Amino acid sequence: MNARFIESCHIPLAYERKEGTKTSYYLTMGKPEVLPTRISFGSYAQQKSSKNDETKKSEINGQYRKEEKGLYFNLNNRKIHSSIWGNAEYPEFYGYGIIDERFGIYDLLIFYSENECNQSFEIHIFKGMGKPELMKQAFQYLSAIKTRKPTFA
Amino acid sequence: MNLDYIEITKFLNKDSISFQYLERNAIYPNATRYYFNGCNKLEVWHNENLKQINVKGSIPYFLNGHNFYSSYEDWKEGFDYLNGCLQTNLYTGIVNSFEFGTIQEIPCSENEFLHNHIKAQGMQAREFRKGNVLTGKQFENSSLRLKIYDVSRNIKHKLEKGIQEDISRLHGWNREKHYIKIEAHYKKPEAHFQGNIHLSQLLSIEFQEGLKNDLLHQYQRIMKTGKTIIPQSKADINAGTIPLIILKELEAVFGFEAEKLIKDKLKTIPEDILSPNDRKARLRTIRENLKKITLAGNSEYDISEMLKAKIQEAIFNHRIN
Repeated sequence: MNARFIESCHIPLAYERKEGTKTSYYLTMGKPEVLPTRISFGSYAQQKSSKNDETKKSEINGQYRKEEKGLYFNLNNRKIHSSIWGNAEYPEFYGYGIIDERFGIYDLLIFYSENECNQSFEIHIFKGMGKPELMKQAFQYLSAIKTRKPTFA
Repeated sequence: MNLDYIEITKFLNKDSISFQYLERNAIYPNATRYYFNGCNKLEVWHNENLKQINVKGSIPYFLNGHNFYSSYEDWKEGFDYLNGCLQTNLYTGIVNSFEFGTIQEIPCSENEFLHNHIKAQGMQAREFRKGNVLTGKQFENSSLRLKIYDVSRNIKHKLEKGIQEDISRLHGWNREKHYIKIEAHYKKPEAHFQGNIHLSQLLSIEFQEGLKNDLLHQYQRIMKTGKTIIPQSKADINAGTIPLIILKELEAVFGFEAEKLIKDKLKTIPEDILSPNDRKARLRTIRENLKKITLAGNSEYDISEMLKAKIQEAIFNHRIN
């Protein structure tokens, strides 16, 4: 896929942990009306033994408020969920998840953080790119952006 | 040489599609129009009563933001992506119409090239102009529309700078050179190819090879001027030779004989204006001028050979990959 096309599928969001909480993160930057404004970050369910080829690092869960709008509002009774898996080929990223295979949607979520997601993280959504054949291209695209050398005017 | 615009109908029967990636744009009595966003939009029409969807748009524009070049792999990847997002199999959809064409560098200006492509037998010709400048021509019959147009102008005026740079870097476009797009728009593929065409069939190597040869065949149907060899001496180009050069060029295109037309015209002039001797003298001068004009076998504006070489190269590359 052309970088320009991947760019058109890309929605970057930034979340920050609310002070005084352990797992509650709020949207601070990026397009509203995509994911819920508040999501929780942390493991609630154990990794299934059938998925032992990958390492589950965490999960995100969230629910849109009734008055909120969002990309996945109608998907699962306003709830969103994704496990977060590590990708050894791209250690610069915390991990990735997919919303939501259970409903035939394959939106790839790549998590990036400078603090192991303890304080804040970025979620880069790539619409429709959660299938294995496209995932690598999204990682390559984002890696190129994140590791781009600074330029000076 | 590649596909460009396409319209596909997919019958859903009892299945449904995913609307997750579609942006509703308009509701009509029979159908709802959605947009699917990529570099450029595709239209997806949903007709609930007929249980069908129609996907319309240029796949190269959707995937790359331009139609200068798109490979077979681009198309495959694009439709795999669309199938995943819409949760349907468009490969079994019926192709209602499509465009297949190529962009060719030419040795003269686009305007000059277009002026010298006159008409195609059995097809209605139409010109497109921006002010006084000829920007395109189209030759059309009931199932096919053949378009030739100044593609450099489109690239310079319609595409943003970044895409222009991509085209230069990746596909060698040079803004100082001249390029023409030749495109066959199959309005009724089922009539042209005598049967319904499915997307999977359209994308097959055999069909693509057939389309390349058909594009050449369609281009060769266009009658071209520019077959005369301009006299090398100034003395041989007088005020009388110039209209004759034009007449000689149009002879083959419109099927007349210039000398006979002139002779017939002279005969209609009354003898009290031009006596028989005067007529003979005029005719002698015209014949002398006609002798100065020689015709080459092919029009200098005919790019058939360039297209043939391109087809050979494309077929060879396809086979070794």
